[in-house]
Order: sequence, then C-alpha cells, then structure tokens
Amino acid sequence: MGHRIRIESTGEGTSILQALQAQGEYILAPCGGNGTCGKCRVRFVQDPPAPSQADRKVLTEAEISEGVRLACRTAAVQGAVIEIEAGDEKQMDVASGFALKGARGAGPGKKTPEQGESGQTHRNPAAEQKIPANSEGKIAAAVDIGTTTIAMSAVDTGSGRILGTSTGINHQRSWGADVISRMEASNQGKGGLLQKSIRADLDLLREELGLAQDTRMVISGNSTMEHLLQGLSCETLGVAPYTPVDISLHEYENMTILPGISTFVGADIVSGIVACGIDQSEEICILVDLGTNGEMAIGNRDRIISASTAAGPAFEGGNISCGVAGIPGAVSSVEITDGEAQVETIGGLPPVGLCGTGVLETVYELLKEELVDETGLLDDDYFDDGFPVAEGIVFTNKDVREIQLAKSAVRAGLEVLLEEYGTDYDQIGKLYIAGGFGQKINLEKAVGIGLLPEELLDRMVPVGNSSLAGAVMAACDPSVLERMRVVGENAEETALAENPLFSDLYMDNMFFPEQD
Amino acid sequence: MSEVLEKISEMLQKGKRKDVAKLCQQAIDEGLEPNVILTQGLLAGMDVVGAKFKANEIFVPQVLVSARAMKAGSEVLKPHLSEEGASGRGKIVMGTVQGDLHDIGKNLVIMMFEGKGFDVVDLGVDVAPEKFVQAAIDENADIIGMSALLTTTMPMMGEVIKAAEEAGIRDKVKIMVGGAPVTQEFADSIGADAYTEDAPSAAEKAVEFVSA
Repeated sequence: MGHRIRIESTGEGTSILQALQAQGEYILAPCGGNGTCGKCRVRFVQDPPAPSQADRKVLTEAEISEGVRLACRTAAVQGAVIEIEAGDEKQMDVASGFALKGARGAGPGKKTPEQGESGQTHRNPAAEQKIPANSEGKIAAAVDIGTTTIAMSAVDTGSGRILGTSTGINHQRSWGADVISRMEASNQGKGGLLQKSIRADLDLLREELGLAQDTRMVISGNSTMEHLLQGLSCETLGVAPYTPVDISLHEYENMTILPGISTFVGADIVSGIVACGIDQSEEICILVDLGTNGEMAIGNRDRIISASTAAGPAFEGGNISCGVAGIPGAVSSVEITDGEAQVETIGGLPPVGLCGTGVLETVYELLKEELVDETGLLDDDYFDDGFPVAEGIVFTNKDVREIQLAKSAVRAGLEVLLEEYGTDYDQIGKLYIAGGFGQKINLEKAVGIGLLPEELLDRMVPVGNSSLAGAVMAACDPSVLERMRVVGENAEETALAENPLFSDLYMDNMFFPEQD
Repeated sequence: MSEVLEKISEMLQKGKRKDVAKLCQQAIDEGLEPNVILTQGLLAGMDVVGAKFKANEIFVPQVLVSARAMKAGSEVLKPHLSEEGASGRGKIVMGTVQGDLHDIGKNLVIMMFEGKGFDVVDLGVDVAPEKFVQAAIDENADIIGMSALLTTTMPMMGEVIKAAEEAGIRDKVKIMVGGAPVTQEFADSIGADAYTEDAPSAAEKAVEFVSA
C-alpha cells in the first residue's frame, strides 16, 4: 500500500468506504460495499479496530495482524489514519483506439507514460467516411463513459481530425464494479455523489487534453452511466421490467447525450452500430461487446434487434481467482506445452495475474492439451490446487466454470439473435467485436473455446472502442446524430432472461467444443 | 444393496433418462419397495451428483440431465408411491423475488431440493411477497425458498419475511435465501432462517430443518 489518508468526517453508521467516498477518495470496491468481494482493503496505521466477520473470511491472519481491514465493513472513526493502495490508474490498459472500415490499428489503445500527457493523433473513422466538415471548425470532446473506464477524444469538428485522446478510471468504481451496484448506490441516496464523481472525472480528462471546461462534450455510454451523469433516478432500472427514465437524445448547452435502446442496451451500442455503419448496411451484420454487460445487436438498414446477456466480468479478469485488469505485469498471452506454461505479460514485467486475454488463452491451451475436458473438468493432477500458469498464479477448476458461464451466455445470446432475426451464419456480412478485450483477443482461441462461432471466423472484425468512434463522428456531423436518434428509437430489444430458447442454448453451450 | 438400485444411481449420475425409467420399472417388477427405489436408487444418485457439483467436478448441464433422469424415474414410481402415502421429506415453495427475472440459479436449487426428496412448488420468477405467502399457506409448506440475482432486488426478500409475519405464518415456515449478491450478514439482517452459498448446501440445510 502507500497513500496515507486521515478520516475527516464521520456520521452514524458510516463505513470507512463511505467516509472515503465523501472525501473524494475512490478506492476499488467491486461488490459495492456488500462485504462479499474482499477487494476494498485498507490498512490502519495504528489501533486497528476488531476485525469483522467479513474480515475474518477474506483476510489472512497475517493481514489482520498488520491492520488490514475491509473498508466497507469497518466503522469510520474521526482522525483514524489509514493507508490505501497507491494508484496505478494511469497505467491501466484502457481501450480508446478504434479500427473501422478496415483501418485496423488506427491508434494505440492507451497512453503510455513515455507518450506523456499530451494526446496522440488517431485516424478518424468519421474523416474516412468523408463526412462533410462542420463549417464552424470548433473543438469538441467525444466521450465514452464506461462502467470501469472513460475515454475522451478532443476533436476538431471542422476537419474531423482527432487532436488527442486521454483515458482514465471511472471513479464510481468505489460504489461497485457493475451497473447494478451503481443503481443500488443511487437508490440509497448516493446519486449526488456518483454524479459529482463522474463530473470530476470528465473535468480531469478535459484538463489533460488542454480543453476549456465549457468545451462541448458528446457523450456515449451505457444507460446507467448516462442516468447518473444527468442525475436521473435509477429506481426503475434495476427491477423488472427494467424501465429507463430517459434514454433519448439530449442536447444541453455544452453537452450532447447520445440515445440508447433500453436500460441494458445503451448509447454505447447505438454509437457502435452507427460507427460500424450497420444502420446503413445492406448486409446483415452483428456487433458484440465482450464486456460485463455482453450487449449485442444484429441487423441492417431495415431492422435492428439488440440484447444484453450479463456475461459477467470474467473476460475482464473479474471473478477469476488470480484475475487482474489489464495492468502492467498482467499475463496477456499463454502457451502450454507438455504441462509447462509459457506466458507473455503486459510491458514484459514479472507476472502479477491474468487479464481477460490471459484467462481466455489459458482455457484454450488447457483444452488443447487435454488438461481440461469437454465438460470443463480439470485434470486430476491439477484439480486440487489449480494449474500453475506462472509463479504464484494458478488457474482453478472454479475459474474454468466462470468462463463456461460467461462464454455460454455470449454464444447463446448470439444464437438467439440470429433466430429472432430469422437468419443464419451464412447470411452474416460482418461480426464486429467491440471493446478493449475484443481488440486484443486471439480470434482462433476465442472460437476454440466456443465463445465465438467458427462459421464467422473469416468475417470477424475487431473494432476497439466503437462507442468512442461513434461519439467522434457525432461530434463532427449532425446527420450522424440523426442516425443515432433513429437507431435509438427503432431498434428492438429482445429479453433473454425470459426466453426459453436462451435457457436451452445457455445449457447447450456450456460445455466446450471438441478440440481437433 | 440390490444390483438394480446401484444401476439406477449410476445411470442417474450419467443422466441416462430412459435407462433410469426402465430400471425403475424393473425394480418394481422385481418387487422392491417403491420408497426404497426412490431413496436408495434415485436420491442416492442425486446425492452423488450434488456432492460432485459442489466440488466443481461436474457442472450445471450435467446436474440438469441428472435431474431430468431423476424426474423420469420419479414418474415411474409416482403411482406406486401415492398408494403408500407420504413419499417426500416435506414441501418447499420456491421462487425468484419480485423485480427479478433470473431463474437458472433458482432452478438449480429446486433440482437439489428434489434430489433430497422434497416436494417443490416452483412459483417462477418475479414473484410478489403476497404470492410467496399465499402459496406457503395453500401448500402448507415447511419452507419458503427465495432467490435474487441483483442487489437491487435483494431487499424484496425482507418484504416477503414481513408479509409472512403479517399473515401469521412466520413461526410455521423456515425461510431460506440465496443468490449471487446475498450474504450471511444480509440474511441475518432481514431475519431469514438460513443462507447457503450454493445449491447443494441449500438442500442439506433444508434436510436439517425438516429433521429437527
């Protein structure tokens, strides 16, 4: 740990986590203060309070005696001094690059420390599409607000040129890793704090890009993020029938909010659909975002159907015993021969854990080596302690199970969409894969574990952050905004949770495909 | 133990629906007690399935096919069991709480309950508190089981317990809760009788309740 903080304000029943949030210190709390994930660790410099039930469950004896406690389960006492994890946020791998219309590798996905705070130039898909220049030539900020990360591009709306891109953590993470915990926090009266947090994050990114605070922002993001930003109630979002308050296109004085389709298929997907040109395409195409919410859409200029599958965070390293985000030292690539794993890590540093691509490759390699069978059972030799991927990093049978659940949800969702659309793989023009994970995965290995259909291997196009790409286009061209409005209004959503076909396919796809 | 019972258990573990049904008929024809076929054949097989699932040795689809095989066997036994009266251990009404449409976890728990010989009434998803309580009264249930997958719907569990208190049946039923966001601490805070981390443990806990 590193960074020391003195607890200033406390109130009745306030936890350390809540006190930190009120002080503007946003530590990681994936389960949203539910006491289940064990990640919101802080260390009391002196006089640690008695450990809670939750502390005893997730912390080791040594940690407890060193003064480590879970912030969400420890009462805040004024004047207490604690240490929190030193922020390595700026080094996190955030997807801000995008590659559309065959322009793969249009821009690096992250800003490395060497590149400094000034942004680099990305090629602009909008420009490539020969969008008529906005005569005013103003600078705008195109933004993708993700649940975990935020990406912002400064755009010259006249030329369509991207002047720079900056990325950061969404500090609402202190209220939970997923949209459901953010909704719950808002429902418990924390909406104002969540709004303050996201606004501060946006201010910071504009500052980093050297943009004035009144620069017009064009904002894409999932429906929960847009609700929280606009200070809308999340009461109806998290309970069936999951009705949003407002997901229509909004043009405030300095801020345009892009429209969404439903509570679980938001503006980020609408933006991606338009950025990929699906709404103008004659061929039927598919867009799939391999993130926690597993949103996907199928269609063409005549009709679009969307869905979300709640795949969970396994492909981002979440819920995996040695899983980590895309940080330096994360194992990103794995090869196993004769029971020995060879790994590559981000930045070539000593391995610290498995990020999404590392998780996927580990599963694929274990299958290939027949160390995991079709049903997902790990070989006897590794069943008890897990397969050693690298020093101190193991992959357990429970981890395999997490991947089975996640990949089956995505695959079953895709098949339901094809069915609902009344089409099949032969008719599909392109399968666009959005998201940072999608941009870096080995497609053959993704097919090998059954996440993506082999039938479409020759038509898969990783597009990176297509939500940001769409926001850039919308910032430059009002006609793009209009296209998004139309998609938001006309695209349909199919509810998977109630669909018996989805349940059947979810079971059918839970095993792994036979390996050649 | 009779060979046919062992065979029933084995085929059930493999999820061989037709074989299980055929073997159950054979066991009856051989003159075995239907109750013995149920407990030492079908339920013994499901016990093994539950234990293996808990240990991560087998996964959801395998539990599902075994549960289907168990159902096929039960169908064969049913007409014979009813003649003798009580077949099950007790009655459970089970559902996913109001506002929540997730049913996979709930269905898994139901399979495990049935695997322990309980008679389970599946109320489905998005079940209102009054519906849980009315079903418990109508069915004269021993246990109410509730599932929630979302932190936003989890508080509904507390509402069901309140409704049970208001209806005056709280001391007549045990209330069990579960689902990804649910914790022991939460279960305690709403006054539930039990929380378990997984489906097989829920079934074991339910057995404890009706045996006590």
